[in-house]
Amino acid sequence: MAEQTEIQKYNYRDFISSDFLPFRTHLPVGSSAPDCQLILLGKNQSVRLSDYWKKNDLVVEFGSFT
Amino acid sequence: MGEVPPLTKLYERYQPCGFEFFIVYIREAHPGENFPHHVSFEQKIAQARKLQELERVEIPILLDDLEGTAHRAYGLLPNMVYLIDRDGLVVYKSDWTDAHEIDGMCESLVRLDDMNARGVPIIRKGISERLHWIPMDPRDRERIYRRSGEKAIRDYLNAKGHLRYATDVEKLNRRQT
Repeated sequence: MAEQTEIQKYNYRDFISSDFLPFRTHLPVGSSAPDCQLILLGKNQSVRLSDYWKKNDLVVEFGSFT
Repeated sequence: MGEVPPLTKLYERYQPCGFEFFIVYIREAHPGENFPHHVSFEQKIAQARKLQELERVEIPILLDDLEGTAHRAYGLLPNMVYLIDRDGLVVYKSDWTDAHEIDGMCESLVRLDDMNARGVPIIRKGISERLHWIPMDPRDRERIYRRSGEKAIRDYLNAKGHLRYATDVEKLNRRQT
């Protein structure tokens, strides 16, 4: 149940701009990139960003389709 | 994601040079009836596949969880971009994805590798800050909102202080008032 609230909070009802974290200070250049677990579309396999940055420089764009 | 075609060009140019490109799929920025918020992971996967097809996305897509864990860790903005080097350090970040900037940054990293390979004795490492400006086509935005659903258009109109152009819908409303 707690998890459902987290999803509901994340999925805001309408497009608002007030919950953005202060971008410049939150994760400044030079700091360690958070190593997150994500699902690779197509292979449906669980990966970590560090699996990739161990070998190559990464360009990571965040986005949705709308 | 207005940057899909330009970023694809960079992907084609730099991926063979040892860069990996990813799009992390996060919550829908302008949800509507056709492309609503993700309430199950199956729905998120299905929506990602559908849009990968519609937008002909070549760059590999990584799915964030439904709670937005990665999205939150990186700052919660709807279309930000990061460059991470092989030590796992953030070497570039931008609040809005800007293909020109990423081109320059990838070029810089290639040059850095070259400097190291040539044994340049002193390499000064620094930090820059800048503003940037991205031209936007209002027709693209309207197409995306319409594709999402009527709710996306209404949400845009409610928040319209945020964007400076008028879509057909807004112009129509102005004429009627």
